[in-house]
Amino acid sequence: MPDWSELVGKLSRQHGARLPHEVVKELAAHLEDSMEKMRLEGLAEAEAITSVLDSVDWRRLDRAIRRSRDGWRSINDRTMRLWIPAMSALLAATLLPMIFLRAGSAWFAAAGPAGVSLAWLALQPLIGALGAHLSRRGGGLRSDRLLAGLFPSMVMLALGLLLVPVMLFMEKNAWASAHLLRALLSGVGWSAAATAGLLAGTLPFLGIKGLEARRATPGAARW
Amino acid sequence: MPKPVNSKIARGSTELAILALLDKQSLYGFEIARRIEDQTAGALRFTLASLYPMLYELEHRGWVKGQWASNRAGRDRRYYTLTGKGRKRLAPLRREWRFFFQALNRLAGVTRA
Repeated sequence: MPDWSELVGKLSRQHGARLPHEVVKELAAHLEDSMEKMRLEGLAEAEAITSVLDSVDWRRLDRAIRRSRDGWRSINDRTMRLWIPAMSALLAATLLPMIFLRAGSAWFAAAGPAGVSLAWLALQPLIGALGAHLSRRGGGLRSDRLLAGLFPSMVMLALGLLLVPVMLFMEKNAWASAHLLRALLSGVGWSAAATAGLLAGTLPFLGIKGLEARRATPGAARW
Repeated sequence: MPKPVNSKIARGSTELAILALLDKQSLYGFEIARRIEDQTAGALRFTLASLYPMLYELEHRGWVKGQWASNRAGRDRRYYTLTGKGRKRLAPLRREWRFFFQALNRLAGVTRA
């Protein structure tokens, strides 16, 4: 029979949850009772322990408990989970290339446009990782972390799509009029390349298990 | 197999469900979840991430009070008791839900279980 308080404390910390000792003790008691109920229903002890622990989404639990105890507002919660990480990633996507270009101007001059493009692409995973990491630290769900990591490329795509009509109709840009398809493809291509780079940096922050607790049970409403 | 209950409706009724149970006797978290599940024939279920935040919220509002005590098996469990403030809140909550079901009944022929 495991020491449930120790187990819950360890698992919650592993998942980044910061639960107070008294809460850990109470949750441990609940899980112990759940396990015993499963044993009475015929499950082996090891199987019951695994089943009980797998049903817990530690991050969601941590977030919900902190919100209820601290009286957090959902708007603050969403800001911490999504908007601050997403805006940080966007800021990094804007500033980092400028800083690198300035710092290594001699190298970039020698490397030419291809070198600049490659360096820009190499930065994308770092930026994606920054957004996803901040979102995870703020208690973000997988979707929040993904959005925060990919936010710069979404903004880039939106701006690109906005720029083409502006060039065409407001500035009456001759090159854009003559090469509309090329301009569009170029914008989409760069955006796709940035998305791939950002996604590479975001992916390591998405692989957290714990969807079991949110899975609906047929015939039952789960609060 | 009970028919599914929309989760939004279920969520809206959590306060009533918990307060009504605690009106009868003090209970700890697992027992609250088990009784709600049993008494609704499995139609309403709590997960860990929904039960305890709700209990802490009710405690934060001063409607329930949690205290550690031993259960029948001699294990420490945190028992929740309805406070005077919680009891005062329960009466209007019951009225609101009764009114809600009556309104639905008039509208769509829905009666209380």
